[in-house]
Amino acid sequence: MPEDLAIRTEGLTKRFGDFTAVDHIDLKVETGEIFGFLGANGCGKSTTIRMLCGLLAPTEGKAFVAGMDVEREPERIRATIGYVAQFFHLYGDMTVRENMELFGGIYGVPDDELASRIGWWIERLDLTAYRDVLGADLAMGTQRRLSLACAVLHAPKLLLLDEPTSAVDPLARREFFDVIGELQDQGTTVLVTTHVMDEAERCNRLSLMDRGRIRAVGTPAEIKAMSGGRIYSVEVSDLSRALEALEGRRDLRGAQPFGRQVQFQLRDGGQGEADQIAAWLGRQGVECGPASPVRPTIEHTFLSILGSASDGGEGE
Amino acid sequence: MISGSRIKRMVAKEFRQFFRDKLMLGLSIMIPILQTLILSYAVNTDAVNVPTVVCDMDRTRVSRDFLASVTSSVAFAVIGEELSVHDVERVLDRGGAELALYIPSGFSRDLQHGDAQVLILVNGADSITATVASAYLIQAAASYDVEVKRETILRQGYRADALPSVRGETRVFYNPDLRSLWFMGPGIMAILLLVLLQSFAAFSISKEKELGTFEQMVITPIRPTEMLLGKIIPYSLIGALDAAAIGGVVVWVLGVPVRGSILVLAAAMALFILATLGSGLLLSAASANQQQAQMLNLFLAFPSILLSGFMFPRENLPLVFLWISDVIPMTYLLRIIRGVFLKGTGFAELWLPNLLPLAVLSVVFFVLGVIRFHKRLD
Repeated sequence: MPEDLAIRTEGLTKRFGDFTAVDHIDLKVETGEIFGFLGANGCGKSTTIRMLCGLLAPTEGKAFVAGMDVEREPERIRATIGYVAQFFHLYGDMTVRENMELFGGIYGVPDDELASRIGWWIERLDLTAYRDVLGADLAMGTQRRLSLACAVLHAPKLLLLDEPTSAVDPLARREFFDVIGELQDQGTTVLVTTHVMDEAERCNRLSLMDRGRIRAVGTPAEIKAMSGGRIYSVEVSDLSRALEALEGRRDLRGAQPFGRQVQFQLRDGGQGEADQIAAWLGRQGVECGPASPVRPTIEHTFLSILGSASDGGEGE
Repeated sequence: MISGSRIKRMVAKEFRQFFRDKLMLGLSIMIPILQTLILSYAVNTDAVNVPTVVCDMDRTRVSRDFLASVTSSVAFAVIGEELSVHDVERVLDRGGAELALYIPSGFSRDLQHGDAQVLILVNGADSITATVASAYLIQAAASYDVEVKRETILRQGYRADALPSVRGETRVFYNPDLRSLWFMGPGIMAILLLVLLQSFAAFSISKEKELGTFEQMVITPIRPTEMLLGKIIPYSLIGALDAAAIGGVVVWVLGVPVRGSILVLAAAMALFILATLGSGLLLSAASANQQQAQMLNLFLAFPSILLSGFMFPRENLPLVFLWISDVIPMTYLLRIIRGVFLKGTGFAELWLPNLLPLAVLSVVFFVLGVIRFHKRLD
């Protein structure tokens, strides 16, 4: 039943002139899951989110939030979603508390409940010290927490987060995701865009987006398994020479530096082939340790999907 | 359904932001008062102390007498005496004087024969001063002319009234001294209100667009109408306060009399505030950021200043501009304001020709602004 889905899109497309920002995406987000939207900057993540909350009209296709058509019932949908924009979009000339009162009030939180909800979130998001500080005077990480606070005061069923943790330090980022986890426990569906891989790990399901298209959808484990060939790592004496040499090999999907090591991904085969490549590197004059297998990460899948897409794009 | 509590929150928010922005607050109080004073005294077409040079090539008792009599008016300040027409031209070129009076040699002799001529040289680059001042000078020469003839006739033994003459007597209604202050002051009140209020309305929205807060608002369940009222209520109150402040300066500081009904004035102002907020909304819908809003604000203010009859008489406008002038609210507001202030015109005379068109235009501008604002949100 489509009504069970928090978000469903059918061939959702957005064009800006000749440029297709979002290209026929079909998306299904289950109620209650944390769904990650992974992709490079400019791949269409934000445009998709902006269509979902009714800020942009789709050029083609349909989008449903909790079964409601985004274009037909934007106002009903708006009451049930919370949105944290990529940049600080609250009032810089109003204090933390004033911003929360304004947005809570506009979302229709009853007056007698508003104060206690604001108090609760101020405490939960460590905003106590800033309650009377102007939004513009807050550090970026604090602004993000305030944005989140203003977006959840009305207990939305769906929370849309557009790069909520960019320019936030890793510890704060982890705390941010702890809060998101708690919201999920209370039944909130969360759609979060990111290009940070460790955030992607915390999502129930992920979609990889590239140039307006969704390239892969699955749980983090499934996504990792899609990375294609096995990945090995060798320690090398000369990183740039090693990368240069490996780049010419057609039997590799790719090679990346990783500290003092080079990680390469095979098209076919396993340890035996990897040992041969290490030995070949040695013959090329690069001192080289033994090849050891690497557990694939989401990043590997991401890079290999991007790689295969660009291979196709160049007609090779 | 429109929610009163949401509107209340938006109004409170708008006032809070307005009063928190000390610069804006200061400007909104100081601009109307200072500008009214500055503009009223600066936009002054009375000619006083116009720098004048003289050149007397005749150097007779008669020519000196003529010079003294003509330049005795407060309109002129004689700043120098030159020795040749060449020198006079040089002074005008340099911009040292606006006006020059040249008396050729043989002036007193020619005067005896009844055809003496003097030359008035005018700096046409500053045409307003030049026109007014040269008119004064010609007038002064003419009265000298009359005086000389009268004396001559008396000397020849005739009675003074034997000289046939026609004299035009002028009686100026409403502004007997033709003080440009009286004329400009009330108009400046309207112009300032337009520029201030239109920019308040436009900026408060374009600023929100630029900062992204507009977007954040749009995705809340707030209705466009609620958002709109949240802007319009505070800014019409601020506009009314500004109008009262400027009016106070015009009446008590500039001393312009109010001869008509304050009530009619207030009604016209209220309508005008509505029109101005409407054009402010239109303007903000058309601009993506504050700079564009600023440019549009200036651009839209020009017709109201130039074509409404504020600066130049409407009678001189080419037909096309006259049509434009007919759909500018300022045109009607100015007539009402000047009528109420100086002439004491009442509701009965103003209603049909001025108040009604102002009301219609205000409603049209306001509704257009509101429609445009709604569209923008969808």
